[in-house]
Amino acid sequence: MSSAAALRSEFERETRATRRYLERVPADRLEWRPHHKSFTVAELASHLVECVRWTDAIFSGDEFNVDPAAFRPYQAASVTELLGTFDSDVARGLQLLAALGDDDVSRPWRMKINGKVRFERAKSDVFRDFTLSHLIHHRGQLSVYLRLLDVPVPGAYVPTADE
Amino acid sequence: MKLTQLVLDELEREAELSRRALQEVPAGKGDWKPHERSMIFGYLADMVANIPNWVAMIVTKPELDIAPPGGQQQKREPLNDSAAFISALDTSMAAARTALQQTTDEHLMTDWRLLAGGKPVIETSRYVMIRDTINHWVHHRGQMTVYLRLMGAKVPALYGPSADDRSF
Repeated sequence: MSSAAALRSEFERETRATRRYLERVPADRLEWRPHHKSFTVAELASHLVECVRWTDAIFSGDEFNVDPAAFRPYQAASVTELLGTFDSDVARGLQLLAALGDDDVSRPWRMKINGKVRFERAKSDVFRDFTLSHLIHHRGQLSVYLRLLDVPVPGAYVPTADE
Repeated sequence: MKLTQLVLDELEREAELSRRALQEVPAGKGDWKPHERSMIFGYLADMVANIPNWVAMIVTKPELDIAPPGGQQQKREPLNDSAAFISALDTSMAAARTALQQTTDEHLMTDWRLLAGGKPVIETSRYVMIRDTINHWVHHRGQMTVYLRLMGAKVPALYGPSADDRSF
């Protein structure tokens, strides 16, 4: 399998698993958080959408500039909106990934902060960190939130206590 | 780039993040869990320290039976503090490193089997199994960071800043 095809199938697999978690987010507990320093359910679930969005930033160009002062995190107002946004960002990601060859994914990509280069790495590495691992990390956190809210937890890799 | 090197580079990156999480493990809290149906903290942190051993096993062994017909092998003594978890991570990473350095890309594309009670449940290439194993590692480490928060421990910055480490 080519490396571009491998990334696409992994993105497909992981976003499919993620949707099963997002579907279970309780609409009436969006403002709940397990600790005063933690993200709320809405913030955490919305952050999963942002992880998916990095796909666009990584594969639409060779660099991406962040202006921390202007940055506003995405926050969904409802579960319906969350799922709709997630689906369209996943569709956009799949479309981008389908058009890539192995040369495209190994190209260097620069992350800039206020115009200054913070790092330069291969797109496949950045995608693995910023999109895939980042998504899985926060989805793992969401699985604990669901457990604490007494929502049955879907399995990501192996069955859970509920399956 | 060679597949073996790609996997090894990624393991090294993730091991560094796992080390940051394990550094914050409070001593003597192995039995704590946030909910009656949750895993205990000690089991979760043990996986974060030991999952690289799974990578070594996938490279060097033909299969694993998670419910062997003769019953489970003996249980290890639970690890109890941050130093013990970090030392376990060092050992498991050394095993993964050795296994990957001594294998070939062709071998990673050959099939590996996960069995339960003698019956195959997953049969796929070693490369795909290793990829899923790394993702599984990230998943449990993510869960562990919520446990750390709820236990009053510090949460390290991993893929971005945390409430305790804004320096990312």
